[in-house]
Order: sequence, then structure tokens, then C-alpha cells
Amino acid sequence: MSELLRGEWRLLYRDPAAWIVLVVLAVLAGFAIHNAAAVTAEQREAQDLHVEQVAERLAEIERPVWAQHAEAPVVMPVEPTAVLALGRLRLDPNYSQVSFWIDRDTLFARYQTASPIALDAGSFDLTFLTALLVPLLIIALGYGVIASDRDNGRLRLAMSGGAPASSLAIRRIALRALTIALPVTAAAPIGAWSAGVSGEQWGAVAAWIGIAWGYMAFWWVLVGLANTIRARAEAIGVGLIVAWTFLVLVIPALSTALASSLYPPPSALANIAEARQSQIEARSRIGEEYREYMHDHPELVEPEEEDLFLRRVTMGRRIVDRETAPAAEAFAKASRAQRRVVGWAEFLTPSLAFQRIAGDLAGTGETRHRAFREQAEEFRMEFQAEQAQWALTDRRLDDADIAALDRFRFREPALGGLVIPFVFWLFVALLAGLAARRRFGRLSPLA
Amino acid sequence: MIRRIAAIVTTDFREAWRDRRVPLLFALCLLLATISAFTAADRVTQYEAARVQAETTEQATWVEQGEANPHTVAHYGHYAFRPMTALTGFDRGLTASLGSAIWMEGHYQTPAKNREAETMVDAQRFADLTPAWLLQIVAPLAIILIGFPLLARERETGLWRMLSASGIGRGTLLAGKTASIGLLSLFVISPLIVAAFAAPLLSDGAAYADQGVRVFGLAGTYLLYLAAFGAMTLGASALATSSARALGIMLSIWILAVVVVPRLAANAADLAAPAPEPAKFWQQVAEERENGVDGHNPRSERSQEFRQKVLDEYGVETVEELPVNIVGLSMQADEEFGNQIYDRQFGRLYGTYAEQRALARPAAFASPTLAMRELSALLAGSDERHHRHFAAAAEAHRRVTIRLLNEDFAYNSSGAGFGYMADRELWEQVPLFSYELPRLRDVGNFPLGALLALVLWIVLGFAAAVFGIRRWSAA
Repeated sequence: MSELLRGEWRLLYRDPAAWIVLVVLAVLAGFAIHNAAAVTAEQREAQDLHVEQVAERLAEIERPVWAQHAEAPVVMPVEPTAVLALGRLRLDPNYSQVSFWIDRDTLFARYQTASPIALDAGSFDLTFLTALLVPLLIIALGYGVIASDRDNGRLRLAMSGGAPASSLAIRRIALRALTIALPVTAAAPIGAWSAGVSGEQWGAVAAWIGIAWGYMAFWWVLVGLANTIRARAEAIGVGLIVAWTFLVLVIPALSTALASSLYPPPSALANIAEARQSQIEARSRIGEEYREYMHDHPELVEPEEEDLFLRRVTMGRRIVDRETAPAAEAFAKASRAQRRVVGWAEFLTPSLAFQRIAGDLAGTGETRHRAFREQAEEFRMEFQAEQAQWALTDRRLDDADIAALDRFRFREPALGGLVIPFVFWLFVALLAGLAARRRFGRLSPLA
Repeated sequence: MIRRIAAIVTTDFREAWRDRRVPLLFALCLLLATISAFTAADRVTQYEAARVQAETTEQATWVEQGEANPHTVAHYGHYAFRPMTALTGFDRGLTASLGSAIWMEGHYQTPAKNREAETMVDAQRFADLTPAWLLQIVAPLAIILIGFPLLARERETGLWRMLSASGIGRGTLLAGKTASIGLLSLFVISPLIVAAFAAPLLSDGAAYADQGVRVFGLAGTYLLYLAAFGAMTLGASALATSSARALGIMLSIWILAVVVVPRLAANAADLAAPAPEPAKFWQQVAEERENGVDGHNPRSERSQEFRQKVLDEYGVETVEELPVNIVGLSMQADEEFGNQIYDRQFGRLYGTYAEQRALARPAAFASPTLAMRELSALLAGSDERHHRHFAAAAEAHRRVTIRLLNEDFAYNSSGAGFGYMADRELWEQVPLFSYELPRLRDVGNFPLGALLALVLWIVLGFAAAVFGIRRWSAA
């Protein structure tokens, strides 16, 4: 360590603000890990319980089992990496089951028991800490990193050794950055390890740390650039807070409001009412639907004991599935359009880009939850198509048939395109860093 | 004295205008307020139009459903849609996380679905551009940025000594600065205040019977809330040795009060009193329905007892001799047994939410924002207590409907069993679900603790200002 760096380190070591930031961050990071680990464990336990419940229900039925009694769990595995970002874990369903009696409307039902108070407040996890609080702490430690010395005339003394202002700024910023990065960087692997991360999942943890560093680097560059402005430290501090307010609060709020106004999704209430209308009207068209179905499936033979009830349910669901598909697609289309607008807003603020990619890396983001809903719906259609054929031919299942039943396997969605906005912000940070260095180079000690 | 106070206010306004803080903050508030008022009003109007349309469709579908077995109809059930009030346009509160449609079907009491939060992107859950969010989050920041140098600057520039020499006392200075921060803040955040009134007025949302009391309560509590930040800013400005330090103190308080403590408190409360996961919740419901609340009243015994009771009542030996359909009667008995379980389990669930609220409440003494959020959502009717009132009304309606259907099946289907079909005459007997919005007094006690926390912050702020200014040297 050079003498200059050691000197700066001593100054920082004596600065109570640095210690306060370090302690506050360490305590909050500790709570964030503890909280996220508890929620993750609870969710995984609930998923295990759900799978057990489905298996128990099947086991309790007398063999051979009527086809309509078969059911299968659908589960989006909650990875231990969720400890880094709880994302939508408590909000969106991550397990359900598919059975003969479930339709599109009830595939995910009766899952809304989470506390609205906690949901409304949002999760306290490492991603929240890094996205919202760390930039404020960076501003608190960095707003006067050079400007304060310039204000009170000490900059001349600091540069008396001949070192340029850019080296001084880089040294000071690097030491302060370390003070903030240390608790965050340490907390991530500790949390991941305690939650049971293993094997390839460490790659996601490393990637999360990487993007957290990238995000923090952006804010340090911004702080550095602000320090090159010829203004009092106090004014720089206010300016940086205003920038934080815009980047973290205002732009996300405006972009989501804009997205909802430009692409309002079709009313969910209207969808509900239309689906119900379709369900009830379907009752009168069941006979016709059944004739068409049997015509399309010549391999099926009429059941010996025709079960009117099963026929009614199967055919009714087919009609409702077909008729509610356009409304469901319209809803999904509007959501995708909204998502695109907010996706563009990720180029306006690194906060949105960081939060989205952090959630997706942790396996709790919108991309994964949306994929789960879509895959679960696909699986329901496939499972029920097979089940309908069995049910309509009075087929009964033995243990071997049950073991051979189609199982739901969640396919991880690709995250490739999501990194583009974040890479853009890294590039912006690089350019801003070069600009700051150049401006520091022009800074005269007499300024 | 009034002339001196006016002079102080004029000087402060001129300086704040000159260094562009006032025009910039005003422009920002104007932009946000305009967008917020229109989007919030539009959200309520669109929702209400969709709700009325959905209700009309639902009611027509119900009456026009043709012939069907009452039990099949009980399974199809129907929906209760929660009205969105004009005040929800001002403060969405917890409604986005609570759902707006309750499916009223046989055998099950269900939690509300159609939660807006599920269609929101993650960022919107923290930064939601409603007038209440602007007043809770942005307005305090604007007050801090307006007020931080008001007293500290007089001290650090030495102007205080000149003022003191010219006969302006500490009391006059403090009164002048209080008027300055009040008037400057009022000017800067005036667009936010206009938006707060405009959003409900522009929307087609429903109105409460005690709307006046609610609006008055909201105006009063927000005044206290903003006054708390004003008082604290003056206190920090008086105590700090420089404007920069005053700003540092106040931004730290804002970060803690607005960003950290509300989320920390809610998450800590959820850890201490966790709401059950759906799998666990429904497992408990199923177990109690099967084995009774105490585990000693299994379903098989219950049905046996009920069957015997009905046979005795009608003085017959076998089910076949009964003039009624025992299946319908049994289903109603099972409903009534299930209702006790639901009352218990949902009561416990809402009890957990209330416990979380109570656990988080002391943190309001560390965060006026937490206190304000609770008061605002309560007065705007967008908290979990108002939701519970709606859920209870929907559940009462479900029970009436299912009883009518079961009784019709029991008393009119003898011999036909599930082949029995009821018609429009029965569907028309089922009353339409009509929800009467509650008054404040119907949803529980007013959280006086939250109100007290706001008052305490004001007192503390002014005490700090008085204490700080007394320490100033006049020499």
C-alpha cells in the first residue's frame, strides 16, 4: 500500500461517518439475510407440504383409481438463491395442482393468504438494500470526497505531493467504495450458504455480486463526476439526492404509470364475468361438443356406462377453455406491452435494470413467475386432455398408471436479453468515469 | 413583530427563489401531481366502469342460467366485486395487495382474488404514483430541501449577530422561520395538495356516507405529518453548525423514516407473527372440517348423528321414507359446520394481520411515515380493516345463497336426487349482492397511537429548534 493510500486510509479510519455507514449497513444486511432466509425456508416448506398433500390424497383413494381422481402437483422450485432477492415470492403463487376439476380460472386459486401489510411494504432483502439504500450511503460518504476539501481550502494541501486530483479522487473513492461493498459482498455468500446454495447455484450468487458491484460502481462514478462540478459540497449533496430521487423513485413511478396508461390491461373483472357467462352457457352446448369430440377421436369407444356427469364436466371445460382463450391472450398481450414500456425505462434508470436482473438471478423475478404460470397452464391442458380420454372410456388407473402419469417439470426461462439494459448502464458508468477523470485532471489545486 | 416576521419570510422566499430551489421543486411537484391526479382518477373510473359492467353481466348470467341442479349452481357460485371509492384514487393503501373479487361458492370461503399488485411491475410497489404517495414520500423531501438552511445559514454566515443587534429576538426569528418554512413548503407542494383533492373529484368512484369526516381527517392528519417534517427540519437547522450538517441530519431522518423503517417494521412484524402459507392454511381448514375443531368430532360420526336426528324428527325408520332429500339437508348441515371452521380460520388470519399491525405500530415513533400510512389508508378506506368488512359482507351473502340452494334441493327434489332441476324462480329468490360501504366506526378503533406519534414528532422538532436557537451566541 502506498504512503498516500495509507494516509487516506487513516483519514477514513478516523471518520465517524464511515464507521456509522459500515455498522448500519452490516446490521441491515444481517437483518435482510435473516428475513429473506426465513421467507425462503417457509416457502420451500410449504411447497414440500403441498406435494405431500397431493401424494397423500392419491394414496388414500381405493385402487384402481377412476381417471378423474388423478391429480398432479405443479411447482416452481424455490431456489435457495431467493435469499438474495425475495422478489415476487410472497405475491405470486409458486405451487398448485392440476386435476380433472381445475380450469383456467381456478388453476391458481385460494393462495392469497400472505399479509397485505408485508406485501405492501415490500421485502427487506439484499436487493432492496443494494438498490435503494446503498446509493444513499454512497452519496453520504462521497458527496464531499473532493468538494469538501476544495471548499475549506485543504485540497491544495492534499495535492501538494504532486499527485493529480484524479488520483486523489480515485484513492478516496476506492477506499470508501470498499467500506460499502464489503458488507454487501460478504452478506451475499453468507446468506446463500446459510440458505443451502450449492453447485451451479453459486454461479447465480457470483453473478448477483457482480451486478451489485456494477450498480455500486455506477453510483460512485456519479458521485465522482458530481465532485468535479465547481459547487459547494452541500450543493453537490443536494444535487445527488435529487438524482437519487429521480433515478430510484420518480422515473420508476412515472414509467409504470405511463405503461399502465398506454397499455391498460383488459379489465380482470370483465374477464371474470365473461368466463362465468361462458361456463354457464356451456352447459347447454355439451351434447353438441361431445359429438364433435367423439368424431375427432375415432379411437375412443363409447363408455359402457355412460357417465353423464364426467362428460358434462369435460365438455363444459373444453368449451370454456376455448372461449376464454382470447380474453386470456388479450390480458397476456397487454401485460407484455406494459412490460416492454417498463423495459425501455430500464434504459432511463439503472435502479430498474438492477432490480429486475437481481430478482431474475435469484429466481424470484417476473420472468420466472410468468414462465411458471404459462407452463402450468400448458401442463393443465395436456394433463386434462389425457385424463378426459381415460375418464370418458371409464378407464381406471392402477399404481403403475399413476406412477407413469405425466409430471410437471419447470423449464427455466432464458435470461439472456435481460442483461442488455444493465450492460448499457455499465457502459454509461465507464464513459462517465472517463469524463470524471478528465475533469479531475483539469482541476487546479488553486481552484 | 408581524412586520419583522413578514420581512424574514420575504427574505427567505427571495433567497430560495434565487438559488432555484423553489422553482425547481415547484416544477417537479407540478409535473408529478398532474400525472398522478389524472392517472389515479382514470384508474378508479375505469375500475368502476368495469365493476358495474361485470356485476350486470354476473347478475344477468345468474338469473338467465336456465334449469340446473341447485348443488351444481352452488359450485358455479357467483362473485362479489368490491367497489372502488373515490378516496382510493387518493390513496390506494393496501387494496393492491388485497384483491377485489370474492368467489362465493358452495363449501368454500375464499380469499379475494384479482390483486392489482400481481399485475404491477416490482418497482411500482415501492414507487406508486398516487397523490398519497407523493404527500407521504416526496412532500417531506421537498420540505427538507426548502427548510434545511433557514436557521443554520443565519448562524454560519454571522447574519444572526446582526439581526440580534438590530433587536430581533430568538422568539421572533423562530416565529419568522416557522412562517417561512410553512409558507414556502405550502407554495412548493401546493400542486400535490391540489392533486390530492382533484384525484377523487375527477374520478367516478363511490363515496362513503361519512366522506366529509374522512376528508377532514385526511386533511388534518396530513397537515400534522407535514408539520412534523417541517418542525424537525427547523430543529435540525437550529442544532446544526452548518447548513450542510442540517441537510445531512434531515436526509438521514428522511431515509430512515420513509425508506428504511416502514419496510423494516413490516418485515419484522411478519417474521414475528407470520401469516400462514396457503398450503398450511387450507390443510388446517381441511383437518378441522374432517375431524372437528377439537379433533374429536369426525365427519363420519357427524353425518351418522345428523342422519339419525333427521329420521327422528320425521318419525321414520329409513331415509327412503323421508319426505325430504336428506342429501340437501346434510349438505346444509355440513355448510353450517364448515362456517364455524371458516369463522375460526379466517378470524385467525385477519387476527394475524392485526397482530402484525400492532407489532409494527411502535415503530411509528421512529417513523412518522409509518404512522401516516396507517392513518391515511384507514381514512381513505383502503386498509385491511375495510377489506375485512367487505369480505364479511360477501361471506354473509354466500351463506344466505347456499342455504337457499340447499334447502330448495332438500325440500323440492325428493326422489329425483341430482336429476332435480331448479329454474329461474329459485334464482330470482336469491338476493343480489349489494355492498354498503362502512362508516369509520364500523371498522374498528381509531389508531390513536399513530396520531400521537405525529404530534410527538412535531413537539420534538419544535423543542429541538427552541433548544438549538437558545444555544446560539449573540456575541
